[in-house]
Amino acid sequence: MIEGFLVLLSFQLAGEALAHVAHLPIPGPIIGLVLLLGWAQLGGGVAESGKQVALGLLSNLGLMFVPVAAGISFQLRALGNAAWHVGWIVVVTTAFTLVVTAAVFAWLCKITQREPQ
Amino acid sequence: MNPPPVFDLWVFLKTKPLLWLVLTLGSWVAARRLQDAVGGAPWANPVAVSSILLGVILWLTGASYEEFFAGAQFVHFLLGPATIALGITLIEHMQALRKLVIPVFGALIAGVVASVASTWLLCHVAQLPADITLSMLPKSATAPVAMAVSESIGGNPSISMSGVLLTGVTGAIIVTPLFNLLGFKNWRARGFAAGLTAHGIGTARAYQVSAEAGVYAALALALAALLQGLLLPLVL
Repeated sequence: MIEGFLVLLSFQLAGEALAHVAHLPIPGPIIGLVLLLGWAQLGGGVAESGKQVALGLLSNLGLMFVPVAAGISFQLRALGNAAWHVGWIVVVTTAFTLVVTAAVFAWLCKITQREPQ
Repeated sequence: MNPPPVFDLWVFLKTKPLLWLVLTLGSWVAARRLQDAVGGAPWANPVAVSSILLGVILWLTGASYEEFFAGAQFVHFLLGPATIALGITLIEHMQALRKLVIPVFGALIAGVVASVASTWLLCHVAQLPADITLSMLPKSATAPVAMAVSESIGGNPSISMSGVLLTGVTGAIIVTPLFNLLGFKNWRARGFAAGLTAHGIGTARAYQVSAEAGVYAALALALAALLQGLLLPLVL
């Protein structure tokens, strides 16, 4: 388990370091994820223990958002009267974005699969 | 009259990070059990339920967010390695992903444009102040990206955070009923849309539904973070 964690944390650390050095406006863990994909493209593998820890973390991914989400009532107060508008705008735009994204994805799947292989 | 001993104990425990860590994990486990008990209903989203539960505990006890976060930060820290963990599942699906380059990038651009444009339009319709509008624009990005973008385009990072969390929870709750209602059965497209629109919270929901939907959600989350983090500050 510790070895698996070490793999994950090492890629995160590399990502944080690169984001800092290159002044990237992207969080370190996302850069670390890209580095990991690059590593795999170069033929690098990930130890079985790393996969185990990854599965364990992802089965409770939602938990990681709870510490920040629990503070939302403090932040909504800062919005005051605008909070209601923000609420309905969030619901409408979220539904709209979901439908547009999924529809374009499915449509492009259909088009590209029609081409001869 | 002396205060009851339980009060003394509370004053002691309230300042201990361990108490808030236990309450954070405890409310999560309780929220997961509640969702299981109602047959996995999407409205019983565990992120929403446990956050509300903790919010009520904080409100009732008068504890500050800082006291709470001293314990919850240990859970918060796991967001970093969990992001890398998303990459590990992506590697295992690389073969399938290579064949879907066009749908992936097409939907990525369409989704980000749809999110930013519809938010901008409705904020103007509602005549919201400019700083709130600017703060809401990156609400489909993952929290750190949204806050960084918000700051660089003249928004308020703390308002952006509210927008991001509300979008994540809303997306995670409506994604399944919405696509079922529309009779939409392409699970890769559903997962991708969940990750793009509702970032990490939507991705967590997608993993709950199926591993395949989760992988496409993770891909969308990462690509949308890169695209919005790099482009929005240049465009806006």
